[in-house]
Amino acid sequence: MTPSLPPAVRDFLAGGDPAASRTAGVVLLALLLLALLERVLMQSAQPFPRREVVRLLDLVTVPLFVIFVLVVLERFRDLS
Amino acid sequence: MTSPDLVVPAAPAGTPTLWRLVAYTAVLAAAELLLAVSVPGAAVLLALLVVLLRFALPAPGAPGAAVIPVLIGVPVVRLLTLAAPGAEVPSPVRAAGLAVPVLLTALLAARGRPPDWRLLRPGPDGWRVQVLVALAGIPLAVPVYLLAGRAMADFGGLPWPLAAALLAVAVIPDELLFRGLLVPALGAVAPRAAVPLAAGVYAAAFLGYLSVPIVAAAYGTGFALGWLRRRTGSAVGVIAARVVLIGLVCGAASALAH
Repeated sequence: MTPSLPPAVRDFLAGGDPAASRTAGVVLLALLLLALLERVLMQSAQPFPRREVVRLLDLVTVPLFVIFVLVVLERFRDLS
Repeated sequence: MTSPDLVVPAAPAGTPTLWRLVAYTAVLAAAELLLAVSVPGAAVLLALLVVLLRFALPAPGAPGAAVIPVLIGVPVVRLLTLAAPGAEVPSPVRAAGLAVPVLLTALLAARGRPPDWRLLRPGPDGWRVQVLVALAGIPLAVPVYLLAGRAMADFGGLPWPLAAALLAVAVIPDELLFRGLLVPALGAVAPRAAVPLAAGVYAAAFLGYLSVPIVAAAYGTGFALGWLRRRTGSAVGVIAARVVLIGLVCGAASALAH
């Protein structure tokens, strides 16, 4: 068993309510932007930020960015 | 009058303690339960948990400094699962597709780990013990099939060997995160409570199913594999055990369905 989406939620996202999946995507984007913004601000500050904090921000931004790209590609596919 | 020696100093802000870990598990559980009512609400709660944990990073070298990245990894993975596209594709295909970002999360969370948190190296007892741990997937498959076989039999129209292979791909990063990293991370803060707490975090991810047998199966699996991971000091055996378990349960579900 894998902790995936429960069938009811999956059906809901797949067919029932595109707004719900869009909102989840907006939350993901907001978190991604926050983490990227913090990273940019920290790197422009002196002294250079702690390595642990940069790693933590990478942990949030990299996987969320991958999913964000997939969401954008899906939207383009839907448009076409 | 209280002797100064008997005064327990308060944990510095952000240092993980047992009660903070329990609160973390409770928030995760609340987000998963909220999923049944409001998907955006669950996503917001998971994102808030990530933001809160970001500001909980203790000083370098402090006890628990390596724990926070692992704790952040769990809500990030759940958020990925929620926001990833492809809700209309068969469940095993989506799970296997998510394996890449989940693996990235696990690898990034593992970057600052202490050397004794072995992941893909065998523990002090060598490969033979890891093979024995892999065989633990066989007895574990029986209760999991009885309790959650129906939920796992959702192959989305795919032949069962293909579905089992895709799910086996999906469980590898899962195991790296929930057993390989979470168990030693919690063990660094609360050694006695590490296995039950890690099993609780894993079972919380199944609360959205709103099914007591499924959550019980997840907790039991998480507890057994967590104990084995802690006992053997490596994640190799438990990853193999999960692959064995998935193959057996999918095979049994398919055979009995026909």
